[in-house]
Amino acid sequence: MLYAVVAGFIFAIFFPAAVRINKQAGKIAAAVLPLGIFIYFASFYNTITEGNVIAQSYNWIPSLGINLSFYLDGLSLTFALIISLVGFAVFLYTASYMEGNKYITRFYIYITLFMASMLGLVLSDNIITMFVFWELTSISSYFLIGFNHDKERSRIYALQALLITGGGGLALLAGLIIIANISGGWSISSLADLNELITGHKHYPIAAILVLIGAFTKSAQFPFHFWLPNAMEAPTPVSAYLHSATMVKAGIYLMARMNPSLGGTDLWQHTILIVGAVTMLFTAMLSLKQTDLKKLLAYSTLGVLGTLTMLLGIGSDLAIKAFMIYLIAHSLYKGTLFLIAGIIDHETGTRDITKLGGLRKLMPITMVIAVLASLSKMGIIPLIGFVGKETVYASALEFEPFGTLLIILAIAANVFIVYITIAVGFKPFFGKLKPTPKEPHESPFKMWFGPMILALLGVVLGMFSSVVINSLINFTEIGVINKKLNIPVKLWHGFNLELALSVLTVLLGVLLYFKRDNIVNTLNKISFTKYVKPSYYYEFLLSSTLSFAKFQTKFLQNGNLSNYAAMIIVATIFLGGLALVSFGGAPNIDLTFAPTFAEVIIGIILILAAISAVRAKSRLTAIVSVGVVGYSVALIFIMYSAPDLAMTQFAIETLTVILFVLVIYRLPKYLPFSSMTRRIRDFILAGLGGLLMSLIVLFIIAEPMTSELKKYFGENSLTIGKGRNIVNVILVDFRALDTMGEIAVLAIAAIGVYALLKLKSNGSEK
Amino acid sequence: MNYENLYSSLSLIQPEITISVFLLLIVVADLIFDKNKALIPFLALAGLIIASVQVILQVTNTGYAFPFSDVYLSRKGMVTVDAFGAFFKLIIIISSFILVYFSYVSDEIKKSEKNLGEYYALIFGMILGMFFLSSASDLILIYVALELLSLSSYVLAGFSKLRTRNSEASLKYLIYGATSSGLMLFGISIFYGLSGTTNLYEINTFLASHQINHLTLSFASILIFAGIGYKISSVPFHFWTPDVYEGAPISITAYLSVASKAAGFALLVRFIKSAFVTSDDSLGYWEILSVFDWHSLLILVSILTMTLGNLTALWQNNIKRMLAYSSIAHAGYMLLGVAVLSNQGLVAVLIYFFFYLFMNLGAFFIVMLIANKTGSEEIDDYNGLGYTSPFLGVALTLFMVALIGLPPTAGFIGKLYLFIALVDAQMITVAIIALLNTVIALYYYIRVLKHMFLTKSTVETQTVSVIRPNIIFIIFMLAPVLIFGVYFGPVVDFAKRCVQILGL
Amino acid sequence: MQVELTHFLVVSTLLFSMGVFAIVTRKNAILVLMGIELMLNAANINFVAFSKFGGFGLSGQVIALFVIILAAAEAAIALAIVLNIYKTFSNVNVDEINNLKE
Repeated sequence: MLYAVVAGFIFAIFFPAAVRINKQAGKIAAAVLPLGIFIYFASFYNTITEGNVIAQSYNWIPSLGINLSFYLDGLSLTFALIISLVGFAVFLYTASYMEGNKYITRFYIYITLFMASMLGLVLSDNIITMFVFWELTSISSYFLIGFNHDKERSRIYALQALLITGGGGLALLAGLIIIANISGGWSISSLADLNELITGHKHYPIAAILVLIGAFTKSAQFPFHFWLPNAMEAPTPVSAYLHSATMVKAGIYLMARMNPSLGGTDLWQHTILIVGAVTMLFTAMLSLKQTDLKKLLAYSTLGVLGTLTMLLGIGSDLAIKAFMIYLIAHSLYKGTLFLIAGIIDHETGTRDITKLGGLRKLMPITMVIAVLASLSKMGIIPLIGFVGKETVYASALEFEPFGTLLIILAIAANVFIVYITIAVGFKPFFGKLKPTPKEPHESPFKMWFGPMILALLGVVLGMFSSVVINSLINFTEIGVINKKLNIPVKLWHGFNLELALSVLTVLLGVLLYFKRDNIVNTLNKISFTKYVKPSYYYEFLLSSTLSFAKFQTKFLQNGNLSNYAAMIIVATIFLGGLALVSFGGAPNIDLTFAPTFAEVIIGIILILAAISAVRAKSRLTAIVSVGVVGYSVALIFIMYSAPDLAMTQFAIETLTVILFVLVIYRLPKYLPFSSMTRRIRDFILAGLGGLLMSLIVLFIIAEPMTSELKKYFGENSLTIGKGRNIVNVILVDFRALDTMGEIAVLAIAAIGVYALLKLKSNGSEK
Repeated sequence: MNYENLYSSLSLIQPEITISVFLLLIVVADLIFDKNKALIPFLALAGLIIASVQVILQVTNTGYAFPFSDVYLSRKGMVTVDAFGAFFKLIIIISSFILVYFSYVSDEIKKSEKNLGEYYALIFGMILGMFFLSSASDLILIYVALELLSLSSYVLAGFSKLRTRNSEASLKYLIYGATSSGLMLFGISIFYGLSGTTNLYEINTFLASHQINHLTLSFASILIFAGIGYKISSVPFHFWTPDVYEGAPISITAYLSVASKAAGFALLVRFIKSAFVTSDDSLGYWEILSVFDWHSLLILVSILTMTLGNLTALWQNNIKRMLAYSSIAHAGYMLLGVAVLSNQGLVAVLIYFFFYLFMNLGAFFIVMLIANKTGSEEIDDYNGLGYTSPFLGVALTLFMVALIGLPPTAGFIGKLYLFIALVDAQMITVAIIALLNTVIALYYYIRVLKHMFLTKSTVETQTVSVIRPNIIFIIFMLAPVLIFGVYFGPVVDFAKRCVQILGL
Repeated sequence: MQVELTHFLVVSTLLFSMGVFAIVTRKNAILVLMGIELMLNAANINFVAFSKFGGFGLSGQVIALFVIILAAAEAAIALAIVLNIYKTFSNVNVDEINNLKE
């Protein structure tokens, strides 16, 4: 199976070279690839329908125990077959649909990459590899939607689709990691047996919700559905392949795959059921206003995706059966209809159904295919769509206690789907021929061959559903639930309620089609506010995030140095304040001053000088004041019997003052303080900072110096140092490394100053 | 200190000695070859090669250098040589190699060729400072090393032909850096006042055995964090970052965004682990002293950092500035790994950093090539670049995808390990916030791709031709990003080995 | 009557706050640098006072020595940078040096 997945990636790498050698051969090879993959997976059909599963594992990173593992059961086989078969039809179709496009090579690379990733996604048994393929499908979809990049809209919608599905993918990753944390392993198939452990865990709800967000975004469930119709900006083969038959079903696949391990809880079942039902009805209704062929199909896809989700939510055996049949049926007819829509667009130059009609004589083959697919979609016997819809109705009816409600919803949604089908599958071909931008004629073989196979398969599978589909669903380890289903699939169930409802649906759909204009006119009178559209919230979120981002940047990152410095202080005060609040308590100290005269004098001089340095208007005064501070500090050093230190301080301080004075005389004379408000703000800031500092100091003082410390130092300072001039001893002995660093700093300072001054002379040259 | 002791200590700081010696050699060579400076980069390379061998040996050859004790005679040194420090030194060395090539190609540096001697001398000053920061276990040495690093970088940030933006970058970096390090020094003085020592291990012993006023200690810790926070540009000490990154020459910007940040992270982790952690429990979580709530502080700061970084990057039009903000966001993710306070979290940080090195420097390199040619760093000027210069376009795409953290690139593996560490530590809410941030990042990185591939240029975009050495260099940067994206075992193993911090 | 640690801590705290005040309020780059000098001096007083009153030996003095020299080196670099700023902006008002922003 590894090779089946890797084949696509390798193909994508070598495709450009192949095309360079022979363009036609390259394209044929592209179509042969999915066909080969289809045959490969079809060869597993017997093994799987005998109830076996195939698991393959390759060492990936043995030292960490991470394996590349694949797993084939009923669910993944069904998906793999759909992906490769529809892939074959689409690849063949592309060859002539994209004829003459400058970037066709690139297109093949993207779509092959997509196919390989999609296969990898459904076959992976490892959580991480599944996620990797999941995101790869989102990325390749991004490039495919934006492929017609001349259009501004296709760029925006490509980004929108990527943000929603890619973002949802990240949520999925988080959910999967949490599940892996709970279960202690990365294998998906082994999760199925751990249902109780996982659902009982306290982090289960968040994990389940994250996984569902991933699935809902990918499968365009309400309220994330709006990206899918917008993604119709993509070339038609992409819409047919990614946005109806495969990629959007990845979310469905994920829910089905996770159903045994995460399912069974109210949270899981109810969320899925409600979201699915809402999506099904809401999106199907939205189709009414559309006149674009592809948009119409997109809304019907949404309706089907909602239905599939709803079926998983119902969760009964019958519902699972309906889920599988409907999944297969939909992929076959919807892929076909999209390709037909593409053919019509290609031949006539328009996709607007109001401008199409009467093509049956000009495009007979296309018409036959379209009608076949449409009948299947409408649920007409003996096509597979019929079997699908029957079982959907049956499982909705069976659902307790809301069976009636669900069946009404399902019928309502299906009425719209029938309407869409008539509009897409019949309308362009019947009635009067209408003038179109291009002169239509029958499409070439390569274009109709693929859809025809899919459409015929719909007939075959429908007629022989009791054989093929039956064994696929009933005799395999299906993967969606932890047991084998045992409900025979039959084409004909006799005259029963479901059949009556099916007939009713079709009739109502036809009625809707003829009454559409009236309804739309009525609808147009009622003005829906923009607030009911989820896409409004998406755009609102996007634009408000952007404007908030701008606002906070302009406010915080305003380029002003004093502001930046103030930020550090504010932050420190804030954090310090947090600490203060969390520890609280008042310091318990005695603040009676008892200093000697000399110390008081030095202290006062120091403080006054500091104030003067801060407040002085003249630069020289400020510098001299700082000098005085320095000298006072030196005096303090003397009092602590640190003469060496005092000498150093004196020398350096003098040097610094001289330097400053020298520099300052090259600079402008007088600089004002800032504005009054700024000054008040700064003053408050500095005041708060000072206050906080003082509080801290009070606390330090309250802390009696540890007596052990004192004792220790009293004993050891002399013996260790072996000398009176400890500064020297320590400098070369204990603190040797610091000294080395210090010398390096001085050297760097010298080089730096030299370089900076040199830069200046460079500048003056120009 | 006896000579035997001195000898073993010196043998432990071999890389630092090499760097110092080559610093001097570069200065001397600069004086001797006054006219021809072409030799200097090669001299620098020679120094780096020797130092890299010595650093690699340090992964196994560990120990304490310069054992010195003020108080407790614990005989643990001022410098701790261990695999953890060696990892970060390796990051610094690799980025230094890359920097040499960057500088060799960069137009900005070529223009001031006369100053090449000082340029490399200052870079070696930075390297020396960063080496000391990665292994220092004494607050004063840390302060000295920090100043060494800072002073060199202040000058380098303005190192180009004298323009307003260069000198402004220098000044902002200086004022901001000096203020933060001043705060840090005051914090160090309080630590000293409380414990009577500046040695991290001794501080640890002291804190574990004495009743201390928590408020004082918290405040001192916050002050020290201000000094470290400014080096790793974490909110709220990040304000200098975008301005300096935009104003400095691209080679230096790229270097600051990786190497200087690496040193800051090494310092942060060592400071917390050596001074506050008493032992690892069986699962690798750190038993941390209750004197200061590092966990909450780091979580708070990292969430702010990544959110602010990402939000601001969102609407930038200058790609260098965008990368600056995104580098802030990346620091936020990595801080989150530190906040887990476990060996698993630390492994995630190391893995993340290692990959970040290649993807970030790679992105910067391509931005520099394009700026060399078109003279523009505006994202709007990247329109259609994917078609006019497909190689650069595809390479930049891959780097961007890696920076987002999407598979199948190494960036994904970095994020994956980080998320796993967070979830294993039951920090689920935080993990989800990090996730939302990644979604924001998705938007602004993809925007660049949109401009390159999906937007047609209104004016004729210049074709940026790439000479062969640059192609080879880009492939060299791209290879780890792609190969480690699917085969990351060796990196993870190496990172697991390198979480061993001596001193517990 | 003895001078106590307290008094020096009060002095150093005040000095530190003054430094902070200067950094935030002064607009002349040179005077901002002075503020930083004040902060470093404050830390120095702490080191010496702690080592004296805590009985920590002379290590505090050594540290102070390092700081003095580092401060000087920093000042030298800073002045050179300010000179370059003046060269390009004809101005050392930090409020007007804000071309790089947002």
